[in-house]
Amino acid sequence: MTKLKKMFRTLPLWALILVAAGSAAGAMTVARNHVVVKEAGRPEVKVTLAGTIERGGKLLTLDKAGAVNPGEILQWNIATVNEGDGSAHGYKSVSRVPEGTVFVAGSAHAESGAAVTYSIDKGQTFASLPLIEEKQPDGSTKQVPAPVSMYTEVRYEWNDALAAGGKLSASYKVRVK
Amino acid sequence: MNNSSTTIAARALWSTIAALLMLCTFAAQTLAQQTAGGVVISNTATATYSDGTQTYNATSNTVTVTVANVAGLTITPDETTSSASVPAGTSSDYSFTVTNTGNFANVVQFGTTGVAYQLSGAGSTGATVTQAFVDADNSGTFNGGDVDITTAGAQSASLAMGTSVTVIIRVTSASNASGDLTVTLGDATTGGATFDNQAHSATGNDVFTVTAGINGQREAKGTKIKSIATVSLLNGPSGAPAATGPGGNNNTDFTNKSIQTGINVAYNGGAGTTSAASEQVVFTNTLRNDGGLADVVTLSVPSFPAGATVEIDPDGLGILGYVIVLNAGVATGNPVPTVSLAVSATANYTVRITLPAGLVVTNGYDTVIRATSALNNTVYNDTIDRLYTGFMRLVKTATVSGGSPAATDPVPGATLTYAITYENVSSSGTVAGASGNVTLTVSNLTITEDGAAGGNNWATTTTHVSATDAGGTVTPGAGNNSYTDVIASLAPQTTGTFTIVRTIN
Repeated sequence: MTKLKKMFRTLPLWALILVAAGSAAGAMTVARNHVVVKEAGRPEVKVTLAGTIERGGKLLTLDKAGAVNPGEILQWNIATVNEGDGSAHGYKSVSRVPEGTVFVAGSAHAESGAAVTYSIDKGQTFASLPLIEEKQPDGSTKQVPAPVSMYTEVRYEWNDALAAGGKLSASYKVRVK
Repeated sequence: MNNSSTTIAARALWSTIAALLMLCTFAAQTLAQQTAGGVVISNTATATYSDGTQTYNATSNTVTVTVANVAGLTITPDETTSSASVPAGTSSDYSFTVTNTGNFANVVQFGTTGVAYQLSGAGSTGATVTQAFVDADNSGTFNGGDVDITTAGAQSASLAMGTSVTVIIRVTSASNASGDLTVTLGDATTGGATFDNQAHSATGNDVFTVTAGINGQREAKGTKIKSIATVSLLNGPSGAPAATGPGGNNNTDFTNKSIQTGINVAYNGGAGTTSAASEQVVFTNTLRNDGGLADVVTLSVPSFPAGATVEIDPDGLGILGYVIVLNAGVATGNPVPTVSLAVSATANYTVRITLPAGLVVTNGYDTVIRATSALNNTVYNDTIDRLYTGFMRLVKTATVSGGSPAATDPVPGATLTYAITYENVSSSGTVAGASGNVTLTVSNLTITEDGAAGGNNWATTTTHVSATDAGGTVTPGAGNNSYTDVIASLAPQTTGTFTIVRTIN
């Protein structure tokens, strides 16, 4: 209620005219967006990627691990900080499953309940469970989950805006082929 | 885009790719190899967000890491029991697949101080390795480009990561070998049961990667086992495939028969010959597979009487019919159907022989029938189908004694002695070492001497003294003008004499 009052206090004149024209819902939408722009500063998100590897019971950063061996598991950590003075809306982070590695099933985690989706087409499309067509013995085809070895990208998507100064972290693992 | 918002177009594309991947399972497996050593794994994260109006992109730092060189080696198979049976005395390939399972190209060395392969097991007694090589072109034969590994330290060409070569150890077992023959390639002692990809220790018969990876050099061992089975084939007279000839010789056992056509001719010291081509005479012989493996037998005729026609019916039943192998002494080249014999099985076949005219009478003529194993063509057994141009030889002599002035002068009062020697000239089955042969025995031989018939006149010109045969029963005719000698039985290679003594009138 407080928010709504504030909104109307800052309504420009043309918005009020639209209300008078009879489309209350439309007026609300336009007005609301307008309020955000007017009110927020600019967000500036900085993304930092770090890789670690567990070896001999110790967690090493990749810059200290030297070369990696086939079969070893790498963990990628994505740290996000909004260094701007406005909220970042619709924040999505996309990270790759690099060539020479395969995604480790179930390894993607993120703070604040981000929705995690995956791509099997190098980031063109994402789905929580990408599907492929599998040919059946009778000649028909059936949609089945794609093997994780086909995953090429991992996307994290947050519903809530990342406020200025806010931080988020996400991680996933890959295995060196 | 929501969670299920993969576009139809993209789905179709990726579905097609997925289907192709599944259709090409093998290719997929080949492609799904480990990451090559030296490859740089590079990762960057991106982000998008908006301030409500404008969309912004952010890109992270890039993190890279290099994949190490990891050496790896496998050798298959790793058998613990025999996987095949091989006829004794034959060559057999023991094939191994040597794979560079490392993630970089590597060379494989075979043996450090000894050769990389070793033979063991009861079946290896007397076995020899005739060839051992890396079959680079997968031709199955040792040729240009292949690597001979019969000397210690031989090295393969560089094998790309994930690729394999075939190594063939070619072994000839002893002809009397029996039991498992095991060939091992490499001598890794750890990592059972596969003995693959072990840390290399330089021992005599090792197979290992030459270039070390982060995990050093690697070695492996493979094992191939085959069961060496005896090959033994018997070929002999009907019902007696194991028959032996004189001296116990397994290749001279025989079946004796006689023709009847054209033999009514005097032997006459070898001058008498058959007056016509013989009738067809059929012999039945028997085969037996005494080896440890099912065999296929080829029948052939390595030796035969000049001018003879020899036909073989391989099933002995007429179902396949006779195949003319020799036509009047000339090889026809007609193939004789083979005879399949399970282990311990027997089978009869028949041979039909026709002798030409002009052969010396009361002689044996040998046709040798050879049965050869398909498992090992150096294994064969002969039997002889021997055809006599009559086998009862009569030789009559007349001597005079008590004559005058010379004792042999045929004068009245002198003694005239007729000696009719009869002989069964056919070969004997009772000589040392011989067994199972089919022989010709004379039965109820009746020799009739009539002094007044067939040009004889001794009935009227001489007077009876005696008529004897130790081996027969002599019955005089009326007035002692004729005699009949009956010999109940005359075994092969035995003789008897019917002696008639008269006084010249």
